[in-house]
Order: sequence, then structure tokens, then C-alpha cells
Amino acid sequence: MFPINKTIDSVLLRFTIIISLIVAISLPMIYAVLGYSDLSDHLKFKAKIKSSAQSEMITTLPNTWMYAENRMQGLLAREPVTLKNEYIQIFDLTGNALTSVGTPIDGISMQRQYPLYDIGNIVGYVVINASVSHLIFNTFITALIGMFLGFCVLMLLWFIPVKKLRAISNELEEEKQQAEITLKSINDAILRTDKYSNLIYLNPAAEKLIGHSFAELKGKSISEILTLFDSQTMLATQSAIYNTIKEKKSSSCKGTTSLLTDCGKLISIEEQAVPIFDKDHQLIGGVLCLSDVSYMREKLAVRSWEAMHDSLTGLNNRRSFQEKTHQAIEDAQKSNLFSIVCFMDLDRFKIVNDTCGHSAGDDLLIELSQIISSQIRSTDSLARLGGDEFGLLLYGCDIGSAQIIATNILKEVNHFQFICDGRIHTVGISIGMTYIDNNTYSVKDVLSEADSACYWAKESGRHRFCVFQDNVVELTARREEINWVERIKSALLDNRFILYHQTYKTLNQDENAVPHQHLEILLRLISSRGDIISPDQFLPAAERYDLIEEVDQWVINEVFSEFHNIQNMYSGSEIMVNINLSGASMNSIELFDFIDSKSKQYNIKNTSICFEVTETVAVRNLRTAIEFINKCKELGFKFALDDFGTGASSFSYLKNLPVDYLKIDGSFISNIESDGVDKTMVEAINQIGHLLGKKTIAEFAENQAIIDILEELGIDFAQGYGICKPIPLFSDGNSRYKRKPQARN
Amino acid sequence: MHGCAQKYGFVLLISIVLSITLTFSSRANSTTITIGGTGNAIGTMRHLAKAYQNANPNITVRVLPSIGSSGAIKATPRGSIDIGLSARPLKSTELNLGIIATLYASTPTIIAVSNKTQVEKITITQMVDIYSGKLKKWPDGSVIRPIIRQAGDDNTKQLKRLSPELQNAIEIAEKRQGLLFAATDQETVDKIEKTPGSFSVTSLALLLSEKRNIHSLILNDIEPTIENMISGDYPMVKHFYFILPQEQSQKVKRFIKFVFSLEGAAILRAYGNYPVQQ
Repeated sequence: MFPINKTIDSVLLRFTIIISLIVAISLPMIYAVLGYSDLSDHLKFKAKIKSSAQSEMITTLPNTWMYAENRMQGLLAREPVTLKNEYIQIFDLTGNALTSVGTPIDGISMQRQYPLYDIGNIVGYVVINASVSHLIFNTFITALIGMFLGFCVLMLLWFIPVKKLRAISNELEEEKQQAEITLKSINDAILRTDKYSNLIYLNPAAEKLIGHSFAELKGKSISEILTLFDSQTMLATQSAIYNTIKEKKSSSCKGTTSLLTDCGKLISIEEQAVPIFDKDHQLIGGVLCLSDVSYMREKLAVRSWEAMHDSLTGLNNRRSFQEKTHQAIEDAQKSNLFSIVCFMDLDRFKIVNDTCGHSAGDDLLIELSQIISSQIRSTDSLARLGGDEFGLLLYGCDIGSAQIIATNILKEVNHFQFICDGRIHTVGISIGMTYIDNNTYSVKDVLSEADSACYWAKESGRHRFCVFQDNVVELTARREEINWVERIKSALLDNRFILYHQTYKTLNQDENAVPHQHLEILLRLISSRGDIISPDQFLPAAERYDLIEEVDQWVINEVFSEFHNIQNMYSGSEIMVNINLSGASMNSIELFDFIDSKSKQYNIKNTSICFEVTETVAVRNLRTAIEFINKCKELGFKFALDDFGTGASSFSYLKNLPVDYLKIDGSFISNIESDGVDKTMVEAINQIGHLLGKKTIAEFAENQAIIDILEELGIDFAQGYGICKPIPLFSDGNSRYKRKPQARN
Repeated sequence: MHGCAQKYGFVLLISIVLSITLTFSSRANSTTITIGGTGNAIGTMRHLAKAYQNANPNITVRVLPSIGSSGAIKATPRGSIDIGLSARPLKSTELNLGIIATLYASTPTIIAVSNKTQVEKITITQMVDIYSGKLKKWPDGSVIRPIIRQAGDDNTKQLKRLSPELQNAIEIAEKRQGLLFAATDQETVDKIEKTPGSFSVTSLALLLSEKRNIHSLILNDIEPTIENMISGDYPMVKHFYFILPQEQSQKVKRFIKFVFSLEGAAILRAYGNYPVQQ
């Protein structure tokens, strides 16, 4: 318990005593006043009554009423009210007592009188006396009671409300102590001012920060005490407390404020000022809190630097480089300022990394960064984009100067020898560059161009530079392919592939064979906008960038999972579903197991599945192809050789290639009506195929005339627009595939 | 200085004497005789005054309402009235007032009730019970309402003298709340007439002279008659006195003489008085 404030205690005691005295004194006083007043009124009233009682006699006996003593006495004593311990007399005008009733009062008495009237004229007085001794006695008793009550009030006030007040006082004192301790303990500087911004309180942390004691600073204005600067502009700035006092609301100053101490030290601080109001919401001052954020700002600066720089080489990082490139693009649009962006990729860096270790690789990168930095201007920005990739922004530079800089970089890098474990390693650098002019709008496009140019430099032999605009056709195509890669990946992720199909027509049915409805599965891609994209647009990129296997697996999984629905579509007949396989898939060791597992998973009829491989793919990897086909055929699957006739110059391989169908390339079919050679070729292929026990399928059967010819030639099946155009495999089209999650192995 | 004061005092004395003389002279020379005093005698005196005025048309005899015996004794020496009527003789303290008291008649002091009250007799014992509050109803069932007089009333004093018990009872009644009170003899009989069941003490002279609608009660089997009064059987007698200044005016003397005359005596007798033989 904190010691009670003596002043408060003294005040409370006096207050209590005063209240008690008031109670003790007021009770008898009030009683005496009321009693006296009451007695006075009573006597006045009685005197008046007695006077009224005499009035008839006086009026009827104007000259002799004063002698009717008995009559007067009777009226005085009894009528209309009796006397009680009162002494009443009747006096004439000269003051002579005419009669009296009662016993004269001894001691202190009260006398009241009332005139006797004879029709408005006063002819005498009724005087009534009563003793006030009982009033005095009762007042004395009341005084005793009052003293007792006063004592009780004293006790009550002292022990209950005063005690409560004392408890509250203790609590306030305790809170005050805690607040003071808290203020002394916190690290932030706390300054409290009056409404004129003059200092009235300072905590120890503030004294330490400012370097002066409270006694020295008390009463001074904040502007005298604190010398504040904007650490960026180094201009003097005003404390936030002034704004708070002026606007009567909280304000802060965070960011770049620094406090200059007397010893010349600049301390980064943040200010927070709040106004103080009294209970009537009048401003009485403010509190200013200063936080030393030097460490925080340093850390922030470091983090900011790290966010924009590569920690290994100290160069700009990708993010920073992109921002600078964006700025260069804006400058090009505003002021037509020409800049060059270079994308640089080290050659043979992987060898050093793998040979000497990642630590050595880092050292190499650091050294190369320095070498490259030495060849650029101060206005240029060199960045490490990641791994062994670098970006270079030649700001305000034409292509000629850029090529000179690139040449210098190539030369220096070529001369650079990295020694590791006693061995000398050299690296090269391939530079792709593109320029930024007022037609450039996208950082992404610029970097993509530079990247493509770098790729072309590598493709062209490495350790050279290549300008995007000089190879725009090839590089554009490559960029498009790169775009397709992302779109294919996105489509696989979002399940935006869709199956189409095209049915065959049976032209010559083997009487012993079970009739089948043949259909070829075709793939389409749905763009993010919902456009249907044909495979010739995306399949090359898929094959080039090793996505084709994934695509093939998606198709196989979809067809197998929907096999029974496909079967139901053609209820009443056997089906033969043709699925295209790419060379990459066929060469994959995983494909067979995938096919096997999926056929079991979905419990399909393997003999109703026919995989199509192109002649080119099969011939390129004949042994692999034969092994794969044989394994699959053991499971019951069929195979067709697609685009037959365009590949090998001889058909000798056909004897060993265990395909079931030959799909005659469309180039032989499309002009069969008019081209006799094509017709003869088709006929020959058909005969050879039949001799080898294979069925023949003719593609590009665009019209009935062609179909008739094909039938005449003995072709087994025809496929083409003349029979059926490619249509979605299922009537609900896209929604089916959007509903189904993508199957992944 | 001393001589001046003496001169002033002498002039003042002469002025006072002259005033008094003139007052008496004026009254003496007036043709009006003012009579006042006990209410018991007022009624009879009015009859005497009327008879005298009939015989002496130039004289006006004005009988004032009751001012009581003491009032007459006080008023007469002051010249407020010419003749006072008292029901008591002068006290020793009143002898030097310059007045004399002359007995002129007597009458029985009676216990009276309203003629509507069917009661004829009463005893002292009954009065004790009545005044003490024990006896509350008349034999006919009506509520007994005693009428109290002021302490100095002569009638009440006579009643008290009948027995100590009665005195005690009356004193108790005087302190009781709610009992009727009458300040004068006339007021007493007014209330006896008007108040059902009421009773009080008055005089036969008053009853007869004012022809009140009340009747007297036989007290302890003794009827309040002149004869019983003279014989002493009836215990309460009221004597009437003239209160006169020692030096009387001629008109007063002549009136007094008339009262004591045969005619006056006859009038007195007619109204329940036993005249004093002069």
C-alpha cells in the first residue's frame, strides 16, 4: 500500500468533521427555529382568536365592555379555544390590564398580542404569554440528539465514504506510481508539453536521447529542445507535436526524420504525438513519443538493398533490373530515349560448377561480375538474373555502342581464367540484345526478346552476341514456341484439352472379320478465352519442349476412362479407337507401364484400342518401336502406321513392323482423282499391305469421288471430310473436361 | 425650574378635576339613566325601566346588556354607568371606590332545563354525576349537556357551595373538553333554550323577566319558589344590589326611589324577585 497523501487525508478529515458539525448543530437550530416560529404562530393565532371572541361584546358594549371582567375571563379561558399553560391579559389603550386568565409566566416567555377592535378601531389588546422553557428544554434535548447524530455521521463518513475515498486515493497514487515507473522504464523518449508546446515533463529515456536533464529543459519549447532533420534532404523539419497542438489530433512523423544531438550525432527517430484534453475537451497539452529507429532503419535499408540486389555478386537482382527496364521503357516513350537490354548467359559455367563445386562457381560469378561491370558505363545497370544469367541495361545507348560494349565484354570474359584446384578454367558468354524505343511497351516482351537473342547466340555457336531485331523471324517463332509451352502447361494444369474424333468408313469388309466402327481420337486445346486450338499449333512446341509425353498420357488416360461411354455411343457394334502416339512417348520406358496400368484401371477392351505411330517415328527408332509394339500387342492392343508412304524409301521394314493397319498418307489421296501416279501408288501400297496382312486406311478422303476410287482400289477404310469431319468426342464438349480433374501418374 | 414645574402640575390637577366634574355634571344633567350589571337582574330592570319611563317620559332608562356584577362595580365609579346591578356585595377592596351597594331584591338561583326536556326534579347527587360525567342521560333518554360558566360566575359559585362533591364535580367539568360554555347569564339561558338536553344554573328572576322557554328543576325535592327561599328551605338565593356612587344624581335617586316604591316592588315580585322593604 502506498502511503496515503497527507493533504488528501487532512482534507477528508476536515470535510468529515464539518459535515458532522453541520448535522450536530443544524438539528437543534432547526428545531429551535421551527419551535419558536411555531409557538409564535400559535400564540398569535390564539391572541387573534381570543380577540375575535371579545369582539361581539365590545361592539355591543362600546363604553362598558372593559368592565365585563367575568365575561372577558370566560371567553379568554375557554372560548373558543382553551388556554394551555398560557397567561392571557386584556389591556385597554392606555395599557391598563382589564383582566387576565392563567398564571403569570415565570422565566423566559414569549408574548404575542392582538388588537381588540370596535368596528375597525383598536380599543385594546389581547396579550398572551407562554413559557418558552419547554422549547428551550426540547432544543437542548434535540441538541443532544444532534450531537449523537453528528457523531454517527462522523463515524459513518470516516469509515465508509472517506475510507472509500482513501482507497481510491491509494489506487490513484498506485497508478500514478506505476505510470511513472513505466515511463521511466520504457526505451522510448516521452515528452509532455503544455498547449503552447513548452516542455512540462521528460522521462529518463528522453533525457538520455536528448542529452539534457529535465531541469535544464523544463519550460522550453520543443523547437528549442529538438533539432530535427529530414535525413534524405537534410532540411530542418518541425516536430509532429506542433501539428498535434494546432490540429488537436494525433499525428506522426515516420520515415526519414533524424534528431541531431548536441554532440553532432544524427539519430533516426520516429515521432508520435497525441493531444491531451481535459474533461471539457479543451486542449491542455500534448505528449510526444520519440522512438530511436536507427537500428530498424539500418535493417530496413539492408533489407531494401537485399530486395533489389543479388547477395552473391552485389549486382542488381531480377526485380531491380525489371524496374529499371520499365523505367527505360517509360523514358523511351516520353522522350524517345533509345536503350539496349542485354540478356547474357555464361557458356560452360556448368562444367566449372560441377567440377570445382558450387563455392568455386560462386567465386567465378563474383569475378565475372566485376569483369563485366568494368566494361559498362556508370549509367548502365548490370544485374544477375539468376544462376549464370545476367542482364545488362545500356541506358541511352544506340545499337552500335551496345555492340562495342558487348564485344568488349566478350573479349574480357574470353581472357578470364579461373583457377580452381590448380586447374585453369575458362568460360564464355552468349549475349542477346534488343533495343527499347518508343514502340516498346512491355518489360516482359523486352526480356523475352533479349532471351531469345541470347538463345540464338548460343545456337549460333556461343560466346557471341546476337541482336534480336536481326533475327526476328527465327526468334519470333521461338518466342511463340516458348509461349506455347506455357499455354500447354497451363492447359494441362487446367484440364483445357478436349478430345475430338473422326470416324472411318469401311469400304471393303472382310466377310470373316467382325465389323468395327473405327474412329481416330483427335486432340484440341481450349484457350483461356475458350477458343478451340488445333494441334498443329501446339504439338510442335510440345514435342520441342518435352511436353508431348505428358500430352499423350493425358489423351490415353482420357480415352481409357471414357472407353465405356465411347462404346455406348456406338452400341450395337464393335469399336476401334485410334490414339496417336508421339515418338518421344514411344521411346519412353514409362509408356508401356502407363498404358498397362490404365487399361486395368478402367477395365477396357484392349483389342478395341489402336495406337497410331508415324512412319517417320517408327523408322527412326525401329528396334524400340518393334519392342514397344510387340509388348502392347501382347496385351491385345492394335497398331497403325500413320502417314505411310512419306518416310522410308523402301518397305523392307514393314515385314518386321508388327502393325495392323497402314494409314496411307493424305498426300497420295487428295489428288487421286486426277493424278494417275498417286492412284497407282495407292493401289500398290494397298496390295503390299494386304500381302503383309495389314489393313489399309486412306486419309484425306475429301469427297465421294475419292471414296469411290478408294473403294474400287480395294482400300479397306477411308477417313476424311468426305466421310466425317472431326467433331467433339462427347456431345457435352468442353464441360466434361472442365468437370473432370486432370489424371496424373 | 422648580417653580415652573409646580405651576405646571397645579394647572394639570385643576384640569383633571374640572374634567371629572364636567363628566359627572354632564351625566348628571342628562335625561338618560344608564344601568348595567349582572345579567340575572337585567330582565327585571328592563321592566322597571319601562314602567319608570312610562311615568317619566322625559327620562330614558337604558339598561345595558350584562357586564357582570364586577363590571358594574368597576363601571359605576368611573361614571360609565349610572346605576350598577350586582349579584354580590362589595368586597373589601372595593369599598374605597366611592360607591355603595344597596340590596334591593332577592331571587332563587335555579337549575334550569329547556321546556322540551321532560325533567322536573334533580338532586345534588345527580348534579355531581352529571358534572363528573358519570350521568350522561336524562330519564327520557336525551343526552345531558351541562352548560359551564366562567369561574367567577356567581351562579356557579352558589352551586359549588351546595356540597364539596358538587364543587369538585363542577371543577372537573370546567376542565372537561366539549362542554358548552356561556359567558353571560343571557347566553346561558339562550343555550338552555336551544340546546337539547342542556341544563345550567340561572335565576328565577331572569327566567320570569325574560319569559324564557325554560323551566326550573325541583332541587332535592324543594321547589325554587320565593316562599321556599324566604323560609330557607331552598338553598340557593341570589341577592341583587344597586351599585351607586356615593354622591348620586337626582335622576338616579328618583329612579331608586321608584324601584323601592310599591309599584316597583310589585314589578319585582311579578318577575320572581323578593323586593327589599325600604
